[in-house]
Amino acid sequence: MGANAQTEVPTFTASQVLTAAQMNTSARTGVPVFATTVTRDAAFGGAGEKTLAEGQLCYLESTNVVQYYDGAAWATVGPSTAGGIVFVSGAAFTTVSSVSLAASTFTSTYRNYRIILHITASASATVSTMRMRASGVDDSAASYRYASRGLSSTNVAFDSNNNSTTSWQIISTNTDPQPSVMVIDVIAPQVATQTLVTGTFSFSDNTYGQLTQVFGGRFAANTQFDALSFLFAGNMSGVYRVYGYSDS
Amino acid sequence: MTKPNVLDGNEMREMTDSEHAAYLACFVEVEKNETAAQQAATATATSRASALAKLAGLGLTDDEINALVG
Repeated sequence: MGANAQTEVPTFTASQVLTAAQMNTSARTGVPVFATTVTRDAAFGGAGEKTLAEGQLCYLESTNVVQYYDGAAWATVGPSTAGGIVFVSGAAFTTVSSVSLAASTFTSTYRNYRIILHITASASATVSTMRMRASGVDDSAASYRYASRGLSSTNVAFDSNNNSTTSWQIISTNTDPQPSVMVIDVIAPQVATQTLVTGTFSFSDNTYGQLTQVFGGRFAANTQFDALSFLFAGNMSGVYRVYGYSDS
Repeated sequence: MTKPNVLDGNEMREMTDSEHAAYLACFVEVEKNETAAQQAATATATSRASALAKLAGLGLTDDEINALVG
């Protein structure tokens, strides 16, 4: 039990002489802190304790969450350890030819990850590729397999594939210097199995208009990776965000 | 010679010699793959055109050829 944890929430009576400890408790703890839900529930409604009512807040050390009582049950305000998609990292970049996620971006905390790469300015002609990365080094083995299918706003098909190459080629076009986006899911990079990627890309082309591609790829070896890199044939500027998929 | 910049985690810096070599090799591979893909597509298109011409030479109408090969 921490220094802020309480075991009761007292109700004082008229003319009662308060001790320094009682005054300190009142002054220093706006939100009562409890070790667990058990000690919290025991702190309300007893003799000399506050009657639990709607709007009551608490902090739980066991789960590091703030909760409120809605009149019938406790609900979590946050931060919540559970739930959905969780921000991991992000950064902006200006006029670079490569973006490498920081080492240990992929950890055992999450099995699967989502990456959003937003290109805000690009060179006039661009090919973009992606490589998995471990301990600060891109993996350039000929273990990358991929296929993508795309269509332009002028109804031209754009397909690309390779069964054994040294990177995943994700965009190849006479890119118009317009914003573009790549949304990529990375499946099990930290598991000793083959890493899978799948994604969608939307970008602009001087000749063919707006292009959309659906992409899928595999690294055909049982390798654990802690990051990945994007490599651009021309300079790019933009931002990226990495999120982890929580299991609950 | 100035090498391209890389965003490495939160650090923006010039590529190292080894990173630059790997970077250049990556796009050499990409270009090789694209050339091979284009050659394969061209060869397929050429073969298709030749096959269609031979079918027409055998007396098949356009509708019959389309029904046969789409």
